Amino acid sequence: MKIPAILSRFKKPDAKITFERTYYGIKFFLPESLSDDDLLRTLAGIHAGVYKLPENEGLALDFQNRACSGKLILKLLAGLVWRNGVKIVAWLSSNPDTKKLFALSGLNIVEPAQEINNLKHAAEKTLDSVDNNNEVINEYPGWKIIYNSVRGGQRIETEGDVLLWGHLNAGAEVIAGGSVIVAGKLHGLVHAGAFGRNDVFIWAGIFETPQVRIANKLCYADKQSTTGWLKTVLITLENGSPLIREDKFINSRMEEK
Amino acid sequence: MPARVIVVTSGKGGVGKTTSTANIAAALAKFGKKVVAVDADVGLRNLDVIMGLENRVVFNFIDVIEKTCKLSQALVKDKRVPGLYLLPAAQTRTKDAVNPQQMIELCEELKPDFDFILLDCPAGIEGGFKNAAAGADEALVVTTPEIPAVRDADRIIGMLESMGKSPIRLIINRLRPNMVQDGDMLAKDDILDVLSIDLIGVVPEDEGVIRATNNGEPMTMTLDSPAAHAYLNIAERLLGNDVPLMDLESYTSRGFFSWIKKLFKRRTRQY
Repeated sequence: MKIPAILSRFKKPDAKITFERTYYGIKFFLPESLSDDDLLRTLAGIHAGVYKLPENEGLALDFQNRACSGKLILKLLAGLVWRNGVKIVAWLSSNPDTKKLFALSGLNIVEPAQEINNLKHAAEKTLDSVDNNNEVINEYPGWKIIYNSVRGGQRIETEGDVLLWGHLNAGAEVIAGGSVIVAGKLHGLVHAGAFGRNDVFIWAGIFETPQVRIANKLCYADKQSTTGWLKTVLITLENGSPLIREDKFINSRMEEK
Repeated sequence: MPARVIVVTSGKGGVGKTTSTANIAAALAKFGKKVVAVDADVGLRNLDVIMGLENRVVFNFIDVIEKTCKLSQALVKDKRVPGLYLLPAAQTRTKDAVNPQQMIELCEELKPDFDFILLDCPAGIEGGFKNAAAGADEALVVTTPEIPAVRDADRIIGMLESMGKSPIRLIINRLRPNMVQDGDMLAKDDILDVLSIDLIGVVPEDEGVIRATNNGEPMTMTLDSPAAHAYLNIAERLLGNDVPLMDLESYTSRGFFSWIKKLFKRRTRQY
């Protein structure tokens, strides 16, 4: 029997939302056969307890090939994210337009890297081992010290912190899980907290780079408008935003010279 | 004593690798050394034109590698300077026609007969560069005082270091002292600060280079321009002689006001 149009909104949708336990939390598979309204209604019907995840875990929403609109994103944010206080770690889609829309909206469109989890476990293990077995402490990635300049095209990648005792030339990259100190000129790209840590910093002897990255934040810089250009700076995350502080002690001594 | 094999490279195109190769080769030959300039830029050969030997090219080094001819048949002797030879590249082939091992073998074959083998490297960091650099022990990196050129030079230096080439020395080409003074061009010290390698010479911007290139006569053969003197000095430094860096301002500052300025200047900048 055909259901009248007016009653169709009360019809139970055929397609079901499925879940998968992942290393970063839970992944929701949202079938594209569900209409936007049905999708929102089904998500709203899920027990609130499902969204109560541990602090370091989150939810990934896989929209498959659904063509999402900005309106749907807003409704999801209001009805799912803000209402339940749930952290969405990834907005996944195989639809190019939807992917583009997510990216334009500043949403993370890739699943968290496995390294985050590995790193997290390594850190936990290290902390545990402080009490139990001192030998395991060596597993902590620690500092990587580089005693020469890093040239364009070269890339340093480490899970720990980096001390570069030289320049980071244009076109060179330092990708670190921890903090990064560049004793010389910072021309190249630094990504501190590349695997998600927020409690990291970048210290540069002479700050002269067009871009720095801390955790999942990206900061553009130029000589016209950026504080600390050509000066010694400390860059940290404050209330979720990158903050550049001039090292007034060193800078004043440089000016005296 | 075996020949010194030096690759002349830059990363970026158009900075003066081929001009530098031709002029340094001619200068070394003038100092009595037996020199061969090898055009390693397969498919885009120019060294023969700059050396004014294009009408005498019959075979090229790809022919030597493929055993189509003997090495002695492919070498073009420059009749103007004793001891100067050119080994041209093939114009109708691509850079895939040769591999690093073949380049090493070619250089080994050349070594007993020469004091210096200069390899004119193509621009870029791909196969052409790797082939040319494979055969060399030392490197001359040419850059102009422009940020893109310095950046590419930095990339190339990193690659040469990882290939174990030593020493790697820098030629700053086309410097304009007046622009440096006005703050519109990178100064020698700025470039050295970034690249952190030894400087072997600074060549000033010079109209004579264009003239010499079009005439097919390396400037170091006639020595009538500042750039020619700069290249000659580079050749001397390659030979281990201690030659001071040129005072480029004396070439560029002309006229009454420059003379007054010079008179009252407390310190002469050395380039």
